[in-house]
Amino acid sequence: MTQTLTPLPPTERVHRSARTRRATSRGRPGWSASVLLIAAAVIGPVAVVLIDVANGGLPDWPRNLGDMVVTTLLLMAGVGVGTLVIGCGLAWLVTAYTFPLRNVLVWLLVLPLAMPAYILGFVFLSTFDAAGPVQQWLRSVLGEGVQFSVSTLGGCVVVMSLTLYPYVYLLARAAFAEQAPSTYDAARTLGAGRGRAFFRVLVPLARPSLAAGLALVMMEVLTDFATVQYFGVQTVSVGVYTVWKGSYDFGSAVQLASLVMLFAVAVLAGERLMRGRARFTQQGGHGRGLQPERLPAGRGLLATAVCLLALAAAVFVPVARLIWWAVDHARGDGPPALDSGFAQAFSNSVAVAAIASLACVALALVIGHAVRLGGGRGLRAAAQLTTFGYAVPGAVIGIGTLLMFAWLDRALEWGGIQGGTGLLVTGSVVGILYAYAVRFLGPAYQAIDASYQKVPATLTQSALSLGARPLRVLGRVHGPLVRSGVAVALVLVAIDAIKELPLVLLLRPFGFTTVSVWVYQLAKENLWGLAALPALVIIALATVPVFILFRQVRAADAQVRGGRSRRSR
Amino acid sequence: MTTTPALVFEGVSKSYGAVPAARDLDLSVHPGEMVTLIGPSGCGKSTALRLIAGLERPDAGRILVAGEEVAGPGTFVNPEKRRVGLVFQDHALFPHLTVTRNVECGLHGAHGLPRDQRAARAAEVLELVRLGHLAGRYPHELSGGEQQRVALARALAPRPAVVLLDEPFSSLDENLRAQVRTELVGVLRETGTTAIFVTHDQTEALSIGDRVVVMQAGRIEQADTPYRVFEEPATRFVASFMGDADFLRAHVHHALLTCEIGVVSTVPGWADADVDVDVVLRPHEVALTQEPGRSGSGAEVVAVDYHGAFVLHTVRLESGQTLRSWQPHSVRLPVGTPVSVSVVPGITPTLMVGDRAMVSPPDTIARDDHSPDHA
Amino acid sequence: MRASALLATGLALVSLSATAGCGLFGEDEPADLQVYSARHYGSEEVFKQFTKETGITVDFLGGENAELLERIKAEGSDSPADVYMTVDAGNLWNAADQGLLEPLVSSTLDQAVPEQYRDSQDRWFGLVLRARTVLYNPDKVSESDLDPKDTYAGLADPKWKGRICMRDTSEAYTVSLVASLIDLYGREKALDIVKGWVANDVDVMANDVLLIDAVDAGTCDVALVNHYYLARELVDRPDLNVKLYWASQEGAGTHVNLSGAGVVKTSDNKDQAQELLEWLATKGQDDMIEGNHEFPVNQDVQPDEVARSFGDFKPMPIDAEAYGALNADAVDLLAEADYK
Repeated sequence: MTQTLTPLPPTERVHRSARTRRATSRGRPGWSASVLLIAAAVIGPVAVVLIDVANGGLPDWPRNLGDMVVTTLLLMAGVGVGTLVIGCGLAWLVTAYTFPLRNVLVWLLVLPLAMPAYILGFVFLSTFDAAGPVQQWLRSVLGEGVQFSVSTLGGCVVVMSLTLYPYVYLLARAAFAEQAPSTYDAARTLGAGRGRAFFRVLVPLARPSLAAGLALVMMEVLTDFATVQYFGVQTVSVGVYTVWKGSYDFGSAVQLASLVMLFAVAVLAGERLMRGRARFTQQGGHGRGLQPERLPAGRGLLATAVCLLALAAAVFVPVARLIWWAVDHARGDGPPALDSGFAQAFSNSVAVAAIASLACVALALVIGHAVRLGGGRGLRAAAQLTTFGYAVPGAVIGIGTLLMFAWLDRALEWGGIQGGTGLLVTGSVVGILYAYAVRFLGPAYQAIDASYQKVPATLTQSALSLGARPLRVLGRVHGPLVRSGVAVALVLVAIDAIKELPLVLLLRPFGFTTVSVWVYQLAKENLWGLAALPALVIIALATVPVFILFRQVRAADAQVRGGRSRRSR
Repeated sequence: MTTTPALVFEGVSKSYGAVPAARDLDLSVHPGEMVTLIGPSGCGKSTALRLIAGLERPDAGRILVAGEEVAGPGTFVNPEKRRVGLVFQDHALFPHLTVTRNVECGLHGAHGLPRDQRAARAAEVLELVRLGHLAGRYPHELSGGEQQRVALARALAPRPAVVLLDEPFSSLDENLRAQVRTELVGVLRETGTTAIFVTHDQTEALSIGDRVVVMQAGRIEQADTPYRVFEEPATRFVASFMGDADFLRAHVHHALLTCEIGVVSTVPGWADADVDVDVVLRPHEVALTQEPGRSGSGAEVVAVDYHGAFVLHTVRLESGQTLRSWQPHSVRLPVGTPVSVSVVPGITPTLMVGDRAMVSPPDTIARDDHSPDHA
Repeated sequence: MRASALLATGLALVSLSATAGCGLFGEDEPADLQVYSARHYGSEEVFKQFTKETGITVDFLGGENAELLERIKAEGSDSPADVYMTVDAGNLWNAADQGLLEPLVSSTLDQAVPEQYRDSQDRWFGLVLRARTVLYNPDKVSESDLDPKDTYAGLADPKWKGRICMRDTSEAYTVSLVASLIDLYGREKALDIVKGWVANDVDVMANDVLLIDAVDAGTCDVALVNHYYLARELVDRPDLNVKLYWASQEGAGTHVNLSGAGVVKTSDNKDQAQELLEWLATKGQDDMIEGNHEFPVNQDVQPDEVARSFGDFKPMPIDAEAYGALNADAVDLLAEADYK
């Protein structure tokens, strides 16, 4: 029952990889068609925009394109390294050791995800930049000379690393916890210390998860507009907005956006490359595995401090600042920060987030399942394409959705159907939900696919040969086995959906407001007193799924531990 | 006898890209028969299994399960609709289901049972593998051998036409393996199940199978009873793969087989032959006699391997060819001992011309231009 | 089976929200007028007041300029939009240029809105004005340091090295200011000015309030800000250590920009839409500047107290066509000058 990770000879390797990843060579037409359909639906809006723009002829590239590309690459590299170090390091800390507050910190560390970038950017700068309280205090202590700008590429890398590391942290933690204990034991008996076993065995084995997390981080970096703009970092995405809004040149903007997508394709290809040709399906394995070790008091407190420090910049300081503003506002005689309209916006946010996350998870399960059932290169490429929407700036997806439904509308009217689709997209939430699915299928599929990788293909084959139809295999075997991935996917999409702004702004029907639109409109006018309390509500709302996720993860951990020793459930 | 075969391969071929994994396979398996598929790794035995299960689609040929065409030109039946059970090396039990639930899995499907009969059938097959008392456990709470028996029970529950076992014992400890094997084979025999074992262990293949199918490079080299595969290998590959074999250059003339060690035996019916052959000698067929006072050149012992009950001696003949010989454990000749070599009486050794065994005398004319089929 | 518990919770929440009638599928009864507005602040109160006075109900949809424009275009003849309201003269020009706005014949509007603040074909009308001018820290700068003729150009003087801060290039405020400089001086001179700012290590910030904070804290001596941000901050923090300076008073005047509106061509209620515009330009002017400190376009209406406290000033004449047409040049010029 020991794992052998020796590379196989070439011919054998071809067989093996086909064997472990896919249950059969052939696939099922129905399931494969579903994947193609989903891929088409995801690509649709982007394709429509590209076609629309190409019809107008190719515009000139902006003259500072080279700088923007270099800046984008530097930012990606910086944030990539930053999130990897922070995310992986913290995951190791909470997996391998116990220290004060560890059980709370385990899930608190995911919280930076709950912070919308358009809030964080302002709060961070107003706190830490030259005119902010921190530097004012430094000046009062150290003298007038102390003055430095944090709105630089370096500052941006730091802030984005601190807010985006949870993607890596979440997936790395799951990977460390799920690894077969025998692997770790084997490394220890080969004379590796805890740290060495970590770097030489656990980290390489967690590579698929790390790659998936890193890919999500890269996508976020690529499409981010709010944070980078606050830090004066001119990425290609900033260029998209500048050209669009400054020059009224939608064509050039889309052309730039397609460059962003090109980066994204490179990221996705890089992710596959990083997963490598080696396969990581693991089976059973008995042993003690990685058991958390209690740190002595001094070092334990140090570990706690490290975790709190990571949280400070991304969570505690902004939350404290928001609370301060909210209280300040409540003391004044301005209008109340929350009213019935906000309650409406709140329930809208909850509903959209719930529907979007369920829809994305359902679609992601269909894709993961279809790929597992087998099929050719084309199918796998289509599956990969469905994650692509995450790398497209929200506004482009929004416009694409508008245009696509406009085409459909015209086509229907041309075909003699009175009124066509009518105002399907912007007259109801259909447009928003569609665009959400396009944009957030990426994180959902990444999380679920990572779980599928850990289900041996022999299980699928057994289930099929026992006469279970594919749908039943999904419900009875795959579903339960990938449920940790499902939970992660639900949470990631829910949080993103709560925070999402450009899509809602663009596609919402009359009278439909979400909390993020609410906060954004106030923040845009710099009415932070009014925006603070609703912003805190967003953060609190996004904390709920994070908390649910961790209760689930802890239960699963307990089950694994109990199961290894005797029995569980 | 005109019973429908449980499994038929007709000219089945399959390749992965440019790599052929099954070439023109023909095979027919009777109901209740136990067949072992053996060969070195990459020989195509697992591919054959996957083709039967419906996990791969053949490029050419037809496959029939219990008389029904499950794969062929224009037909392909999905795995869940085939009456084929699968047992894997890693057991592939569903970790989130209890033993009973695992077994009941196959009773919901296409060849399943009505709800009220499922529990009874599950209990029945679990009794069969003597695991009734563990029905409520989860897979991770069982030993490797128990897991394997659950996997078998699960595969048997829907009464498949064929059960396929993919190296089912190779994940078990050496000492557990024999016991589990006996139990498993016992259950299969008891239920009259048609079974196909894939294995790479020669002893296992010979002891389990009613028939052994030896494969190499995607082809069936020989499909025959264990006895004949061992005693009358059809090809040089089968001779050397199924047990130890040495090949000595020899000559048949006037029905007499002679080689470096003298006359080996008579070859009835080869009276007119005058032909060069290789004779296949297995270590248990080679006898040694010490020649203490011999001076000058001759055969001598070059290696001695102690195996407990028997001792394997390797002898180099004067020509430089080597032969191996099993000796009782009391005989341990030191390296360098001069010996004379003979063949134990009463055997009919296999003769090879090129890579193929010769069972009837070749035309004398044809003798020189015989060429091997393949390398 | 915790995943299924999660799913169940999600579904429960959805149905809860749906039954709560949260408007997930849009409003049941649309109002008389649908306004697409890139201007959020206080709009709700303005329209409430309008409904109160006229009985015409209004729904408004806040959004971003460019996105709302694309949305109207994509919705085509199905679009419910009656009025498009936005915050930049360039945007108004662009919407008209793309043929989305209906020319209006209205003596009320012609009378209320001075000619330079409306479209030559009366497709859109300015409603309120904002000025982008200089803010300085009186401890670090005296008024005489600033060039009274070409104040914006004067900030390119090397004496301001390391002392100025402005907004980023992706902000429309920056782009339209530079467009007005191109209009005023020609591209070459305008490029020299922006290059001068860059050579002075202009500290680019992403928010006007951050600019005000920086001048107040003295980490920056001079900034360019919109007057109403200062007005709002002064209401909350009267002791800010900053002073407003009306730029280029002895020259072309201070850079101003418009918020305005037009009636959408595909509107099915153009009469009432026009009525809304007329009301906004006359009786509604006070409501529009309420708490917002902008300058009304209607000369009969007084700015509010805080705005008045900044003193009278000479605005730079607005040429919306030039702003709109020159915006792309401005973006290109900012890139060429390596302005962030």
